[in-house]
Amino acid sequence: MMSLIGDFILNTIRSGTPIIYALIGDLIGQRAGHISLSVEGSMLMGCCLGYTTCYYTGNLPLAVIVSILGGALIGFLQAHLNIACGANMFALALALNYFATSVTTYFGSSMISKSIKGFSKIAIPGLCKIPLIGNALFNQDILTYISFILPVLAYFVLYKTKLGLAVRSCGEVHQVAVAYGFDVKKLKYGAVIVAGMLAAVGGCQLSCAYTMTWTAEMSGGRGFIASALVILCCWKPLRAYFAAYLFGAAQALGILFQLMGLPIPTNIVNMAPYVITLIALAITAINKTPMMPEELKKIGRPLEIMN
Amino acid sequence: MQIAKTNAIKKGVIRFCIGAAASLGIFAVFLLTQKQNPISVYMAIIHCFVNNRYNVGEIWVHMTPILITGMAALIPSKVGLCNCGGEGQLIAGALAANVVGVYCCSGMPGYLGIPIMMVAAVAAGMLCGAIPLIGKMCLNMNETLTTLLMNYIVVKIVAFLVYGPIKDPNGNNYPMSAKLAEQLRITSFTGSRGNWTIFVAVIIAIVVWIVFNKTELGFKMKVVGGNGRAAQFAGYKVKKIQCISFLVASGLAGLAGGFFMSSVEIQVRETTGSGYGFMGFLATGIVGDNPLLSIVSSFMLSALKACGATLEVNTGLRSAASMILMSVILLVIFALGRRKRDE
Repeated sequence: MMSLIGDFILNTIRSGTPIIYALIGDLIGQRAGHISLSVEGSMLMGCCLGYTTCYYTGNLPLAVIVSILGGALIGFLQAHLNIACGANMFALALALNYFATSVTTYFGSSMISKSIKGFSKIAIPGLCKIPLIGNALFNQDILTYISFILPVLAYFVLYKTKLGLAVRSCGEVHQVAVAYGFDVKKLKYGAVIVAGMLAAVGGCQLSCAYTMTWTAEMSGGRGFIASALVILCCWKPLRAYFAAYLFGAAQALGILFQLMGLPIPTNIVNMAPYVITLIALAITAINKTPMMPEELKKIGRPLEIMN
Repeated sequence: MQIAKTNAIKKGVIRFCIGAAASLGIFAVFLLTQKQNPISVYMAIIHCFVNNRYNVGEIWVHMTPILITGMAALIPSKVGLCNCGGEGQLIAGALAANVVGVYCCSGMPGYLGIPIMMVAAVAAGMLCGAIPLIGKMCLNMNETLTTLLMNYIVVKIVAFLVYGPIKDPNGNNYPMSAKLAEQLRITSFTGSRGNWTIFVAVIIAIVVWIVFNKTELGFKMKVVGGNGRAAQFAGYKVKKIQCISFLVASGLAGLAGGFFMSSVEIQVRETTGSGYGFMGFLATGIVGDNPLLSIVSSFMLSALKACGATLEVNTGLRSAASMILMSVILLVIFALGRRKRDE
């Protein structure tokens, strides 16, 4: 029983880690007033580029950097085509996801069924022996350890620095950013590109540390879920732990049921993360927290009459 | 006003052409990196459709679901909602059509069975749209995200069903449902899989255009989408108009699924209908939500989708290459900028 619970916690952390990256990324973007559903595409780019780089060079830091560049490309396109060219945020994001899917399917097809030596686990002496949580928290790969401090880091940057204040003001009253001498447009570009980069790191973690395989479209809607979970977090970085591991737990539940031999079909269990996200969104909506950045409220509410 | 409108359409067409040309250029560079001659690849794409009934039919096969789900995205966007769930609604429609066809209508003649299946498909699509709609109307949940999540949920439900309850007992244990009875299938044109549902799709697009441009209802809907408060002051029932539009749209996506099932798929698989909803959403997105231009854009995307497999055989390019070309076209058209609304 103890080992089952330990496995459950371990799987929760493992499934939640890619989400944390994408979640924090999109949260920063959304605080700047821009929903990037294209984090899904960034994540997929991260998965594929990280895996490919790792396969050909075996150099893990390089794999992360290449992933980040791929994610930044998607993030840049998302920011540029929306801010400078006025494309619809959501339609654009879906097009970018399609772009990422097609490119990774094309170039990744040679990577299917190749194996890599991905991130190895680093056990922290002593701490990893704690029953139940030791193995889950203190015997992980480096990207997971970074994900543990990422929300705190994001909180610090967003709330304790001038840059963070400026980014937040982009999504509320952008005059503040102007008053501090920041360029609002640059800040928005930056925030959306960072969203893409972080999501790509999440993707890299997914393919090079979590699953250690590459399959086409392996991100499987995790980016969309991360975007949705931002709402569950009420746009507060520290709540990312709760939201991401809630998703992680929903996935881990499936593995737990399998281990316990319960006769629940896998596809029903696989549905749980999506359903739980949906329910969580509904609960957040019922509480009616007035946390949404002002700029986001304007999206989808065009003020002038169309043609 | 009238002149402004034709100008806008003209601009849309010009933008569309420039976009297509620019993306062919970008894709040519990609082809060169893959050691392919761009001109011969483009000739191969055109050759796919010359004197080849089957491949031309494939265009209609893809175009029907893409165009109809495009309308399913366009109608809500005119009333200020966003329906990214065409994908799930289409799949739900296909599933419902198959289940009703196999378990209820297998003994019926086609003229009775097919309409019943289509009604079931529309209902399934509406059901799928109703959940996000209730969330939007009662709790003000972001319908973009909820419809996206619904897509994944529907796919998982289909996967569960084809591995379990509706798996064909005579199907060698493959995860597929039973096939529709012979008389419940929509007959194809000779020599291809294309069929008359393409005419229905085009008619739907034309009707949508007429509603939005020639009728009072369409005007009301555009006011609701343009400025909800003005619409309220004018005494329009904003929520009612939004709800009905969204339900009609999701019903249409369901219908597309029903057509697809009855004419092409015949049986439900895990991957049934995947990709069509997103493609439809994008087909209308790139032409600035114009129903008539959507016909052109979905034709183009369907043609590219249709030639993917032939391209692989003739040039050795993997079929995902045609997806890359499609996505480049989409991005370039977005880059050229959306039609300004006040023009």
